[in-house]
Amino acid sequence: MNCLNHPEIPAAAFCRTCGKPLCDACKRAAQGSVYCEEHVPAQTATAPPRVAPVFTPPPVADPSVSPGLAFALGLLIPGVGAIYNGQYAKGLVHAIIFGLLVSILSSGSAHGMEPLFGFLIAAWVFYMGVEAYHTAQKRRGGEPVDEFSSLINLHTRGSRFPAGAVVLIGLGVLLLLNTTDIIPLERVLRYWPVLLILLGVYMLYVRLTGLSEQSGGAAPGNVSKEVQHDQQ
Amino acid sequence: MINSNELVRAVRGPIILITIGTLFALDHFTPWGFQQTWPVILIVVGLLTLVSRSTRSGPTTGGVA
Repeated sequence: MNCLNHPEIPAAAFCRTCGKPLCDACKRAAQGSVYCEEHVPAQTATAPPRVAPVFTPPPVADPSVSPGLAFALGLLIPGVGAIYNGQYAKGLVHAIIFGLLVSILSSGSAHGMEPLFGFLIAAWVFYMGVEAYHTAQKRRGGEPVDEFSSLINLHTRGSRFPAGAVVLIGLGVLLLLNTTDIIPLERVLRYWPVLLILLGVYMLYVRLTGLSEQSGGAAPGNVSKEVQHDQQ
Repeated sequence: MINSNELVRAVRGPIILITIGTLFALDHFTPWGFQQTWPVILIVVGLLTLVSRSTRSGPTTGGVA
């Protein structure tokens, strides 16, 4: 049998898909087999097994998203601002944190720290609204939306301060000391106003160094990260 | 070396499970109750996060963290 395209040349192989006889010049090797010119799989078809689609596809700009509505929902009903943005897990976490703060305050277990929890609840309510507003703005502009928070940037890798890990370890040590009755938590938490002072000092430091270095872009992230750190 | 981050990620779940199991064993067989020792889980998770951070930045700098 001779090649279909070149009747004078004997066939060297057959297409895997259509069985067409092919000479050496016509056969196309792909995926460990032989195909003819028209049935050879595209190069892109061989790529997917190597690169799994881990990342979500780039979001499309959605002009029907209303940041104002997101702000109102986030402010009025805990978690609903995030749900409006399609971030159900974030909405659940927001609502749970709000419930925790309220239940700590209402159960009378704040032990003289009622002002702190009052501040925290007010700050959290505004955080939920503003966070939903910024996320909705990003969605309307077609920017990628952060799964954790649109205000606090925790995805800066490299030599940045590992705030999350340090907070977890510090919290764990503090609670372990409390539960083993070595240092009761009440005695430590009496010093909570110190956190406000430290926060103020830190913000002053960031503002002053940020003004001198003209790197205002990174400063807000640092401040809000420190807020979260101190509130723990 | 290039897989140290994957190793940490693969090892994270089992280590947390072992920690929780150990805490419950302590709860049953020693005077240490789970209501006293549960913050250890927070500490372990924090340490694992620290380790995975250090291994993640390791390959980019080329050093062995």
